[in-house]
Amino acid sequence: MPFDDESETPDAALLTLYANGDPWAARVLTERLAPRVLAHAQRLLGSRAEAEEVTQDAMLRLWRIAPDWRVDEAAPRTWLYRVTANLCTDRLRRRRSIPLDAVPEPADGAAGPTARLQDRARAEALQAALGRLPERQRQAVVLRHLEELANPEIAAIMGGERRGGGKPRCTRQTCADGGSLRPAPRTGIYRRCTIMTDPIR
Amino acid sequence: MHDHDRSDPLKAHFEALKARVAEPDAALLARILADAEHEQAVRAAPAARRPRSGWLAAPVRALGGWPAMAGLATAALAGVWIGAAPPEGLAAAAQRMLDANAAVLVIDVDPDAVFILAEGPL
Repeated sequence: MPFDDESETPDAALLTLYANGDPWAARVLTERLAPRVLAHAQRLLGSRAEAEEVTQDAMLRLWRIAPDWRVDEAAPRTWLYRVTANLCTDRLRRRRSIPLDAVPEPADGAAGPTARLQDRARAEALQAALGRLPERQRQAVVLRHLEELANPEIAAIMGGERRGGGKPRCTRQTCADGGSLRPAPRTGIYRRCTIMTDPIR
Repeated sequence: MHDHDRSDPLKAHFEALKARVAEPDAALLARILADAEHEQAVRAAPAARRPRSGWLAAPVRALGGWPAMAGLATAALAGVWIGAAPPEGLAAAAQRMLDANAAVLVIDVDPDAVFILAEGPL
């Protein structure tokens, strides 16, 4: 049975229910938020195993802050993205390079072997390119183009550490300088592309 | 090359990477829920003692708080009780709490000044 039977209940209300001892709320919140946290951590870290550890840690922090949660605070999802990014940043700073774990291939009966190989090469190339970006630019690209969040929420997530004016803005352009995404050697079919985020001043 | 490759060379890359993120497996969900239950249990442990303090809190507040209770305890040790005729200054809330046939007896049973407030007929 799916956890999230009451999909209309806001996250903040569920967090209050959890703080009051409701076990059902924890299950719904877990099903609703853990996949997002895991995806975000995996994209920032490039490692499934580490992403799982970060996900458990971030969710634990959510459980612990629940009794003190104020309704006028940021949405739990926004707060979790921020915590996740901080946990990932801590890990990234403890290592120099980002190992690319073997990520399970999604089940896709329709795609043929060639298409799957091509998608895998694309995903790995992009993950590698993300790994070469500075941490905050990487986070901005992931939030905008992979998590597909709106700019106000991205600003809320990243705003705490942002310097200078203006919202975090990320765009995709081709053939520009910056964190470059080059054609994967095995395929060689892509034009030279670049992930470019505007500098966060 | 597909059409979307020509219009946005990165679109296919982002779509491919988005598709590679797997859902949390059952083991991870179980660990997260175990943490949630543990945190609830940790918080519930002190909460289980609340009824006792809540039961005491109202009459204690009505009598002027713990400083006043300390005075009453001293009085109780000397064999003085309060009850059917509440003394002057007892809060109105406390008077409402006491019905005509009830009395409040303060007994200091603990040298560390733990008070038990018992209610019953005189």
